Amino acid sequence: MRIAPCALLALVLLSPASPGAVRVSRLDAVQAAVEERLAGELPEPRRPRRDLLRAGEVLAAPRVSLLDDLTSGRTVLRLLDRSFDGEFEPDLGDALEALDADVRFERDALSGWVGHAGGAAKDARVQAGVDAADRRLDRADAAAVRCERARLLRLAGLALSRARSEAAFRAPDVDPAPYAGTAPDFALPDVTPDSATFGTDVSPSDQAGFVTAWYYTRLT
Amino acid sequence: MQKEILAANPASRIRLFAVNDQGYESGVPPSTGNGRTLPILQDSAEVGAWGLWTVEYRDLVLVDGEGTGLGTINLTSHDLQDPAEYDEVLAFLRLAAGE
Repeated sequence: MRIAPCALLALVLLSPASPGAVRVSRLDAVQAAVEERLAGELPEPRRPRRDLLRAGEVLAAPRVSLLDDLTSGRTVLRLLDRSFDGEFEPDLGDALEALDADVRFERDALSGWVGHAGGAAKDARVQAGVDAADRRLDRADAAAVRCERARLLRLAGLALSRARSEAAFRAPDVDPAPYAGTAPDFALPDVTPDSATFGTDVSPSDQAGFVTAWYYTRLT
Repeated sequence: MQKEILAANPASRIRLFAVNDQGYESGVPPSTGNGRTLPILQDSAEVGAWGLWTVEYRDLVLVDGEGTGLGTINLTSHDLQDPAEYDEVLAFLRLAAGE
């Protein structure tokens, strides 16, 4: 997905999808696998049977946001990893990796707005949320078991969500910039005859102090 | 949009640019004239700005005053002909510029 829809500018990974938007849950494939298993013969031992039924219940609940996925995913990982060694792979592992990527995407999107959140207090709250998320993501990277990693990813997601909420920050919910750090520089000629800079080379590095928008198009 | 921004705030520190992909030079004349002043920067094989920024067609990349990327909006998904989308992008720029 290149662009998140807008709230100011629509998709909030951590919030329900905007009206008309369909968010694909990262747990859909796991849900399908669990439902298929539930449709067959249930495990005889009590604990796997109970864990499978509980996982099915958790996955049957609506999931309309990343936080929903993280909350359900944590529980489902715990249940299925302890009772079904590898039986739900690769779906379970793929879901965890996708959730990890989603949280980092949200973290990157939010961190770009430190300094632009609408005042020092709001900036500080956003930064604090990003910092809290980073600490949890670091711990998630070092987690020895998957359900612990899922738990820490959820906490990172919560930290980001709270930062937005506490800052009353209606940040445009857009994709992160396509590059990391400072914009790669270039110099291209302005070919608009009525532009003030017509005929001269224009560079991103010339725009220090200005907020700029660069529209990449193919004129026909 | 640039005219609207400057009309509302002549001291605005928001600037808009278009970067036309190489091979589409013939589309420039029909897109200029009639008082249109948006700077169109013509990309070339030598510079390769599209590749440098790893953008996709119709990406609008927003950059703060220090060159740090604030985000990307793809205008295929968010058509600025839609007044709501237009207003949201404008609000985004003004938020980023503190205006």
